[in-house]
Amino acid sequence: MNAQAYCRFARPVVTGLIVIVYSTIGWIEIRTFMRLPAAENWFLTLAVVVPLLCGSLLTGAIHELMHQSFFGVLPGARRSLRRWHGGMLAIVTTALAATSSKLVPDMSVASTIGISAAVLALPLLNRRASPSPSRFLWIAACLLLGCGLFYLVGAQIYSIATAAPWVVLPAGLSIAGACFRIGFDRNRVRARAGRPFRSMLNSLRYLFSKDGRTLQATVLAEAQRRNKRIGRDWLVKSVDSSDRAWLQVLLHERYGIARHSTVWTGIVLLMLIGTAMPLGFILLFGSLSGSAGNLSSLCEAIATSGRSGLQSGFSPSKFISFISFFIPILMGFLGAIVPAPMSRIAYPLPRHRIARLSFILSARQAGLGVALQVFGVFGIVFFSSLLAGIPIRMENASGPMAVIFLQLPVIPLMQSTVLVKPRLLAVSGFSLLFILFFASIGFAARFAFELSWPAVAGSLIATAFAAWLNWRVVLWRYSTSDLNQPMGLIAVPATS
Amino acid sequence: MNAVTDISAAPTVAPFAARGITKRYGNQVALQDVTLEIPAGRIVGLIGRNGAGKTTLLNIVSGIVLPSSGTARTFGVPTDRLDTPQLSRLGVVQQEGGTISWMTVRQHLDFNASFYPTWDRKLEQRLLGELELDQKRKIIQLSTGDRQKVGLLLGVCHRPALLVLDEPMSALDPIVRARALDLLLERLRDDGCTVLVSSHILNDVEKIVDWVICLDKGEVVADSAFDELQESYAEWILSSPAGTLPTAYPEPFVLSQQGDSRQARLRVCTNEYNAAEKFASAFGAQVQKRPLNLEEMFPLLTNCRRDAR
Repeated sequence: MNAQAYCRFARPVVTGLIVIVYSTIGWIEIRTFMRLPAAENWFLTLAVVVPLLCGSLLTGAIHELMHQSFFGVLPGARRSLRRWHGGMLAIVTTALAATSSKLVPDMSVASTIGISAAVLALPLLNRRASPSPSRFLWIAACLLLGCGLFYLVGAQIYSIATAAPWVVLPAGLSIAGACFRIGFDRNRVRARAGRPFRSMLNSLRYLFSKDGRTLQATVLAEAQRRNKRIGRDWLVKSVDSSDRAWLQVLLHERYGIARHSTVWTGIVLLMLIGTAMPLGFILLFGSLSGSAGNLSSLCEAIATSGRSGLQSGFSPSKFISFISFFIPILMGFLGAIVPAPMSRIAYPLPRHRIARLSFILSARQAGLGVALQVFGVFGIVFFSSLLAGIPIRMENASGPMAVIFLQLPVIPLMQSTVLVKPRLLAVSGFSLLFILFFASIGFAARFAFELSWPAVAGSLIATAFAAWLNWRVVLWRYSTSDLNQPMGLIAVPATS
Repeated sequence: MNAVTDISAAPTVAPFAARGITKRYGNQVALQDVTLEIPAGRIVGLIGRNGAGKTTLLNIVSGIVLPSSGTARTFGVPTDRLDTPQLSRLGVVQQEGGTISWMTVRQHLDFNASFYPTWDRKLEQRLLGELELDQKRKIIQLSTGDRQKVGLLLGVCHRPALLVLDEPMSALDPIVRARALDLLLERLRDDGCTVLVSSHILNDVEKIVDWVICLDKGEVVADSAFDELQESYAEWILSSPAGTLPTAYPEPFVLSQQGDSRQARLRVCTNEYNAAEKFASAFGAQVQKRPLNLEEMFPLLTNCRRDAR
C-alpha cells in the first residue's frame, strides 16, 4: 500500500473540511454554554473535539477497507495500513500541537500531544459489530458511564494538563499505543473481513446519485441477510379493495420483519432520545465548565430559551441557546419530509391506488415526525422546568412550537419536491425549501411570532393547500413513471 | 399476429397488443416503433441479445414501465390504467426481484395468496414438492435458483390468464428446468393461459413455444409462428465432386456460408418450394437439407447475421 492508496480511502481533504465545519460548531457550543476563557476553549477544541472527529472519520475509512472480504489476502496489508494510519495520526497530532502552541501558549505542547493522540486513536477500538438490541443497550450503558466519568473528572482536564504535562504525555501515548495494538491485532482484523461496513467518509461520494440508491439497497439487503429473525406471519386470508387493507399490506411488507413491540419501542426510544439529548448536553457542558453545582440555573436557561422573540426579547445568546437546545428536536423535520415512495410492486395494484397509498404513507410518516417533535419540545420544557424547580409554563414552548407550525406547510412541499423530475430541479427545490426551514427557525426565535389561534389556523390552511399540491404531484408521478425506477431521490424500498 | 388492428380506436381482446411503441431511457432507445399483438392461448418466446429490449417489453406488458410513445394495451386496457380486474389475471415472474426478502417462502406464499381470490392451494402444494422448495427458509437466504423457483410459484398459483416470464429459468438446474417447462405447458393445457417467456436458453424455449418474437436493438426482427420459422430457415449442404461451386453466394436468401468449391454449407431463409434443389442444380451440385433449430437460427435472426456471413 502506498500513500495514494491510503489517501483514496482516508480522503484527507474531505476529512479536513468536515472537521473544520464541525469543530467550528463545537468551538461555538463550548464557548456559549461553558463560558470558558478563550485559552481553555481552544484547548478543549484542539485536544478533544478535533481529534475525536478526525479520528472517527479516518478510522471509519480504514475500517471500511478492513471489512472487505479480500483484505485478509492482500500481502502485508494490515501492517502497511497500520503504518500509514499511524503516520497520518502523527501528522494530525503534530498539526494540533503546533496550532495549540500558538493559540494556547500557556498549555504545554506535551499535554496537547498526549490527549489528542489518545483521542485520535480511540475509534480504532470500534468493532463495527452488527447492531442488536442488546448491543444498543451496551453502547448506551458505555455512553452513560463515559458521561458520568466526564462529569466527575471533565472539569479537571485543563488543570491536570497544565499541572502534569509529563504525566499526560506518556499516559496519552500509552493509550494510543494500546488502541493501535488492539485495533490492528491480527485476529481482530481477521474477524472483520467479510462483515460489510461502509464509512461515512466514503458514503459521501454517493450523495444524491443513482449509485447512492444502489448502495442503500445493498446495505438494506446485507442487513436483512444478517438478520436471522423470522418476521411476522401474514394472517389475512383475503385482502379487500379498501385503502386501509392495502395499507396494512404495505406496512407488513416494510415493517413485518420487526415485532410490533420492537417498532413501538423504537418510536418511544426516539422520543426519549429527542428529549434526553439536550439535557445530556447540559450535564456534559455543566460538568466540563465546572458548573455542575449550578445545574438548576442551566436547566432554567433551557426551560426559558423556548420563549418566542416577542415574549423574551432578542439577544444573540438567547438565539444560540434556542438553536442549540431545540435543534436536535426540530431536526426531526428531516424525518418528516422524506416521502414513502413505492416502486417495483409485486401485487395487483393499479397505479392510482399506488399513488394514493404512497401519499397516505408519506402523510402518516410526516404526522409521526411532527408528533415526535411536539413530544420532544414539551418533554424538554417539562423536564428542564422540573430540574430547575420552576413552574411548567406552556409559553416556554412557544418558540419551538412556532417553528413546528411554520414548518407544517413546508413538509408536503418538500415531499413533492423529492418526487419531481429532473433531478436538478428536485435538488434545487429541496435546497430552497431547506433554507426556508432554517429561516423559519430564525424567524420564530428572533422575531415576533406569537402562537395564536389565527396563526395556527393560517398554518393549517396553508398545510392543507400544500398537501393538496403534494397529492397532485404524487398522482402525476405515479401515473407517468416507470415503477421499476427509484422515485425521485429515494432508493427503492423493501422488495429486492 | 402481424396483422395489427387499430388498437387505439377499438380495444382488442388480445392479452397484449402494442402499436408503434418506443421506449427511451434518456438518450438510450430501448424499444423502437414496436408493433405486435399476442393472441390468447399461445406460448410466445421472446428472444434477443443482451440489451435488445426484452425486459423493457415485458415490463410494458405488465404496466411497470410505460412506453415513451405509442399505445400498449394489456387485456384491452392501456397499460398505464391497468386496474385490479386486469392485474388479477396477470402473472409476472421477474428476472430478479419481485420478492420480499425478509419473508420465508411460506410467508410469501400466504402473503401473495391473500391478493388473489383464485389462488390455487393444491397447485401451490404440488409445485412446492416438485420444485423441492423449503418453505421455512427466508427468501434472502435462498440460492438464486431457489429464488427463481419462488418467483415461478408466485407467478402461476393464481392461475393467471397471461403469464409474463423474464428469464425465469436461467439459474435452475436441468432437472428443475424440465419440470418448470412441463409446468408451463400444463398451464397452457389446463387454463388456456397465454405465456410470454423471455429466455436465453433457446433449447428450452424451442421445446415449448409456438410463436417467436425476436428483438434486436429495440426493433422487432421476427414475429412469426415457430413452425413457419423452421420451414423458412434451413441448412443446405451442397456437394460438387467436380469443384464447380462458387466462392461466394450473392443471393439474398443465403445468410451464412462456409466451404470451398467442392462442398459448401449454407444457412438460408426462403419459403420457395424446392428452392434447394433448384439452387443446387444451377451449380451442378447435390444438396442435403435440414431445418435449423432456434439456437442456430438466432444469429441469423439478429444482427449477428452480418458477422456470420
